[in-house]
Amino acid sequence: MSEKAKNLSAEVKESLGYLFFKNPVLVTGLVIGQLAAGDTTLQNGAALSVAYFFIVVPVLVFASAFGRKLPKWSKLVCYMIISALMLVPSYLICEGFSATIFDSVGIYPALLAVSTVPVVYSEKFAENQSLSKAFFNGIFLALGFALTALFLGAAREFFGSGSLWGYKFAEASFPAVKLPFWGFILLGFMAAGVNGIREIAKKPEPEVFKDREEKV
Amino acid sequence: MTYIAQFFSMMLTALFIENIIFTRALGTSWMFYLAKRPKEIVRYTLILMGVVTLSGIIGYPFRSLVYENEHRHMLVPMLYIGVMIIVYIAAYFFIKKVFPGEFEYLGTTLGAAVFNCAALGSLLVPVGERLDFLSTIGYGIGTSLGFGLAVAIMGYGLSRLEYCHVPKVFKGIPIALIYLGLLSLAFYGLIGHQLPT
Repeated sequence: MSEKAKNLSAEVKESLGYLFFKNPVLVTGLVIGQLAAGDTTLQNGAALSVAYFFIVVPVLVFASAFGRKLPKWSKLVCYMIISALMLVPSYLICEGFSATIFDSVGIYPALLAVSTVPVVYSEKFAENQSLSKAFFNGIFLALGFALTALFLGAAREFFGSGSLWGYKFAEASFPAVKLPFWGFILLGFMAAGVNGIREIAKKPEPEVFKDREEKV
Repeated sequence: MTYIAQFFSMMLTALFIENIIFTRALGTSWMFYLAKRPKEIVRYTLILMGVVTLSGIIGYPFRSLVYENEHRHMLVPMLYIGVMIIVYIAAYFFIKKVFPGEFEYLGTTLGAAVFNCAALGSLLVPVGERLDFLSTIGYGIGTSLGFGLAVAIMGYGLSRLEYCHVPKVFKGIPIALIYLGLLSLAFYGLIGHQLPT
């Protein structure tokens, strides 16, 4: 295997952690609000995931490619312009799921454009990473977010209205689970679940987790 | 008089009834960051208030142009992100010129203080609810104060949690989220909501 292929493989392996043990939501505590309040159904979870993917990947790749060459004041301006423009493809794709998806998910996909990854992570980390590493980080950050969003959305739709992707198959329901406070509580238990699995698997705490511990 | 009453009523609504963190869950990542830094809460709340008020004033005349469009769900956020970019550039150079001593610190935190979910959310909610100019400004100010209040409450609670025996897997983010959920539920009941049946 060539040196380049080895490097790429190491970068993919490192980025894979964002799927679970370094999950951006459950371990790092990012993008919590959008999920707690907006992710009330599986469709909403899918819409948020698509929007996050379209925002995070291009911003991180751009930051890696051009971030260090731009004047300090204009970096964030560029990242925000890309984030805002990326709302267009994500909204058009989400409208394909359901014409009324945005009446249900509300303002929350748009808020992803100013979430911590495009605003802080891009400037602090992506600018100093290689293009391929920033790309893989973006992909796996988005996939880790999607995993949490789809699971949480499915659980809240199932228990909240006895349906999945709009197809009703149970009468019993618990509508309060769709309120933001239940979103926080469920995310808290999911985060504890990830910690528990890490303990069982005897995986070390990621650095990002230690940073976060100082903050929380 | 009616306008003043309307302004303050909207401000109090945003502060307590529609608290940006406890009822709308916006700005939670930043809340966790600031909760351990009580000295920064006032500074951050004031920056948030300035950004939301200025962006609300600048964006107000343009929002009717995009709100009637069938793609308003993406155009309205794009409009307000554009307005926030203008406010950010103006604030960046203003601080650099007028407060050069503070620029080292403010210049690095300004971006995150301007571009965050709390600020954009405070601008998008009044558009969806079709609030008039004064109500929009009142809502923005109330939202910023509500953010500061929520961070202070959470900061106090999290500092008390450090003295509690929390199971290892719940330490850190999990217990903070569960505590936030319970506070959010308390606010929900405090303002007279009833759980859906």
